[in-house]
Amino acid sequence: MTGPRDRKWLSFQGLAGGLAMFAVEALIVLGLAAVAWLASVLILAIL
Amino acid sequence: MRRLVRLTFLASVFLFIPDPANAAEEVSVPEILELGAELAGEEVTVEGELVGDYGFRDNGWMWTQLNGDAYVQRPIREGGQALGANVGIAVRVPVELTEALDPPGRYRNRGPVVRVTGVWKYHDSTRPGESYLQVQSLTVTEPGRQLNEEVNWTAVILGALLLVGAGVIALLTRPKDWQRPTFRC
Amino acid sequence: MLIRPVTEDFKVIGFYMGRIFLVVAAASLLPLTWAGLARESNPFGSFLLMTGVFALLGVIGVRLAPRESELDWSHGMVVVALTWLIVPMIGAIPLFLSGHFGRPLDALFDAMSGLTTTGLSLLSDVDHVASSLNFWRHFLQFLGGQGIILAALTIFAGTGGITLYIGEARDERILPSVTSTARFIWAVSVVHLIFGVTSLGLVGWQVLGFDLDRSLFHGLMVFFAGFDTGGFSPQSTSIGYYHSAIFETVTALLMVAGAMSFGLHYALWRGPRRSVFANLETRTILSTFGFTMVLTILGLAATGLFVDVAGLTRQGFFQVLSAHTGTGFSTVPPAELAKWGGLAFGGVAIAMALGGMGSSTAGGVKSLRIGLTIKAVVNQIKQVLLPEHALVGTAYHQSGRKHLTPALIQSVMVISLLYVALYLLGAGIGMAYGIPLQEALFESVSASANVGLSVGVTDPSMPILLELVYMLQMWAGRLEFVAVFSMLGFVYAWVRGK
Repeated sequence: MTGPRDRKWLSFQGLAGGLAMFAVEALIVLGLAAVAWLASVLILAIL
Repeated sequence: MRRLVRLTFLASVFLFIPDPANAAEEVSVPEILELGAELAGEEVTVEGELVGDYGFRDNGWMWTQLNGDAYVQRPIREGGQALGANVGIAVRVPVELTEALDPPGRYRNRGPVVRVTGVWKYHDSTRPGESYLQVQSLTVTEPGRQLNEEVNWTAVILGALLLVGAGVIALLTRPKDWQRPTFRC
Repeated sequence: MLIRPVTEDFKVIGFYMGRIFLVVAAASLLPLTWAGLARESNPFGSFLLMTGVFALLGVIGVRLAPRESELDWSHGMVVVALTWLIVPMIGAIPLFLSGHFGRPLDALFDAMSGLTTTGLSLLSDVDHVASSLNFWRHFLQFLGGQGIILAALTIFAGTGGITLYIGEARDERILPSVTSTARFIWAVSVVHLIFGVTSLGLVGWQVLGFDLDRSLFHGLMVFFAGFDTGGFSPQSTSIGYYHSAIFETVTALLMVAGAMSFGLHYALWRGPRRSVFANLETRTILSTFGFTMVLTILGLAATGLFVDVAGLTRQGFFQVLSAHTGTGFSTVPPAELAKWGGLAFGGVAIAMALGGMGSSTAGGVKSLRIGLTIKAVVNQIKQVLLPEHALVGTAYHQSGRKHLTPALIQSVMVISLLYVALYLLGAGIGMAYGIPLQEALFESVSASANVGLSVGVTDPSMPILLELVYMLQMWAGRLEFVAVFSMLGFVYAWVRGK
């Protein structure tokens, strides 16, 4: 660790940051799933 | 006379009604995997070993895996050869058929060999895209059993000797402070 | 003139490798303890032997230390390349002694596949393998995904650290020192471990109906293989074993997390968060995800393999995500995947070849290189179309504003071309053995990009030369060539130098 500022890991800011990380990952998964769903709907409708 | 003919005719009709238990096509696990699409919706009978876990879900079904490979009859722990990957399918069994099933196959355990009949669901639309056998009847043909495990004493002794050797070398060749190397990058 | 390495050079290399072996020996205590607690006597002996070998080599290595020396670039690269060869060799000992491999080379293949987070496997009868051995296979993927060197760097301070760090195909310095960067990476991994194992364990226990201990076991194994985009699985039917969209969703989140660069994790955690989506790499990978997903779904629909929206979405989404992140999890058996011809095959193969983000656990060409290549091509076209003296902007956003220089383009192109050459090498050798082009190319890309999806070519009956080629591809692909070439150069200098 580089020093006292790294103790923020366990602080509220650290926790909030960690949750933000998971939220973005979940957003990416849901976004890609939405793209897949949309593609499936459109492609099956056309075919 | 007419009555006799009628009775004879009815009796012969019954002879030709197929026994429902024999209507299912007898297949192997590799065949199901190979012919997946062709067997979709067909009633099949297959035999194999139950392995992995018994997943009892809330909706009255138990999920597990049925393997139909060489290891069913010749487990590696009993001298069977390493012949490649397992060959298995998912089976979905009504909970009422799972009473008194031996534990599934794992390390040191050959799971029960069962004969199941059911409908092969290929890319089932009710379970998006999944393929599995929806079991209707289950018979245990061979109970599960324990497999032996032998201790590899050579490995144990050699490993212990190497660890002791490492410790001895570390202690005997410990550098004095003035001997410690300096490193720059 | 080539200068032949001298004894001091070997001592320096040996010293650093010794330190790394000691770290791996310590890590080996985990499967050893597991085998002891689970009373799996046969694997226990094997793990004891493996730990002993690592410990002895480690001690001999550190005792080689010359009085004074410098760890220069070439030393560091050789250390990395050799470590990634020798650790799988020793790590294969418990695998081979288990009896689940027909020959030692197959066990080495699996150890290399584990450490390089590829996931191709020659293990026979995984459904009856010891839990401690299963743990070791998956832990190898965790160790390899994080980086063995990284593991060592968190423990010993960074003399030579930066060379070793870069040699292991990481070029992002997230924090001022390499050691701090290494510790941050471990922190992110531990946080995801807690999340991943808890979520997957809960799903296994409450939704799938597994026993609690088995749920946690599956959760831990799938976490190791998912977050480190490795692709091994505790059962033979991969993620298809679980028959659960919820389980697949959590796994998908871990795969995405693993394919994200740790620099991105840092930006998400500590800020600024907006820069995440302005990054060229992020935009590139999201675009290629979308493109390959649409391509694959179109192919699957056209061949009629899936005829309903839900099935098409679920299977297409998961397989492409698995391929693009370099994980290699599968919800369909290899025999069925081999039938995904045409556009579906193309979509999955392209996704595998492109790979994840740089400085992540994923393999492949990497999205930053793809993005820079596209940018360079677009700039070139602009220069042709615009008036002669027009200035074409060369800026791009990647953790700040940067410029696309000729040297950077050259470096990107060279590595990208080397990956393509590697893909074609494996495909060519596969075809020489009579394997059809589609399957040979698929398996070659899977090995080189450290993905692990298989259409059945990887099998204990495969030719030895092909097996060796795939191992070389896994090794070179994971280290992104530089360390491999450095080691070859070192050997050449030793033989031919003066």
